[in-house]
Amino acid sequence: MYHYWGSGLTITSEIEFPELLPYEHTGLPDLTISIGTVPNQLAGVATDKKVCTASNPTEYLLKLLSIANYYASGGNSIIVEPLAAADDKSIRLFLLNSVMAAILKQRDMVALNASAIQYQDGVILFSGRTNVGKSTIISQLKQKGYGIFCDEACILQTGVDGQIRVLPSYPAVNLWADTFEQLAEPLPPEADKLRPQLPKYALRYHQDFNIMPKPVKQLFLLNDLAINMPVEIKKLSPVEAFSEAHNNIFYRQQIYPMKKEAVHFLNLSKLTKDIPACLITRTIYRDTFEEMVQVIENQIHYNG
Amino acid sequence: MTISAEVVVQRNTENLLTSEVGDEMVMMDMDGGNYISLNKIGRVIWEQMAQPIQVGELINYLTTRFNVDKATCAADTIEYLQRMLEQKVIIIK
Repeated sequence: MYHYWGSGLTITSEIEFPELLPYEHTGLPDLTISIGTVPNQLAGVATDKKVCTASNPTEYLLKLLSIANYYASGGNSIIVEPLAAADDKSIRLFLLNSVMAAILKQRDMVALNASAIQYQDGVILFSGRTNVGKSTIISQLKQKGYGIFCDEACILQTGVDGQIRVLPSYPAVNLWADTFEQLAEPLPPEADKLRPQLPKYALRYHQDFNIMPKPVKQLFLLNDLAINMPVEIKKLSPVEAFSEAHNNIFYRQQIYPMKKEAVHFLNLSKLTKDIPACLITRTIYRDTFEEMVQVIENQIHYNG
Repeated sequence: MTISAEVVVQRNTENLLTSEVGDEMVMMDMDGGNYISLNKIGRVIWEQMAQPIQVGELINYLTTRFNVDKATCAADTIEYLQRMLEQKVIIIK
């Protein structure tokens, strides 16, 4: 058995996960991952049923042709049924994404599509849809001396003082092959590809991974448009920040069938009510990351 | 139903989650899953409805609080309350 920490959870797994932080823990783990036969359907009534998925507040079933079937239940168990000829990396990748997202929701935990850097005694979040450039931004900021806190997703946690803090997901920054060229960094070995056929690589940083919850100092929402334009930055009111952040919930489509609207509403409104937030919009027609990083650094220093 | 100065309105607290967000408020209708935001003035109106209140009384309060002419305040307040009614944020008592 393997023991890990990931997305705020202690995990015991029959599957090895190089992506996660090895972590010896005592007592029962928060989450158990086992290999086995996945039920054909949910034990309870499905509140949502599609070709590949079925869910209700306590169960999530995902069936991926040629990869695996997954069953997440009770917020504490994932059963994985690998399919013939599936590669291990693909099996793990889908588990760490949509299946883990379901587990977090079953536990009333709220996660955002966000990358983050360390700043002062907290973090600065960069939130936006998949492939908007979050990972590239934090990689460029790392080159300027900032420490990385997380990539892919961060988990909101309310402390005993009632304040929101965030936890990282797992210690890897996932970058497309062409990003390494932009960063003037060497391409990692083939073994570090997320999936064999995908030109996207995981840069692991287990040594520098910090699992302590951190306050959020600033929030940047990232957007891109099919318009030729310079990078624009707009300060957001708390309500605007709430609305933008809500659009960037990690696997947002799972909220409604899992009946998790209330916990997401309450946590996101707590997150956005007091922190400075900006919307950064760039064009998709050219590489503007250097410009974006400059705008971001200016704003970081302006906000203190 | 139509809002007028004579009706009494109150918060619809059933199935409505609210959260203060800066100077504004954001609400979620648990029934429909819709989100509604109240700006600063909307929030002042909401705060005045901690108990049921006649619309005319609310208009008088807002006229004094914001130092505006009564006719404009009445028209704007009734329009705002009508929208709140349609979004089920408030009900007529």
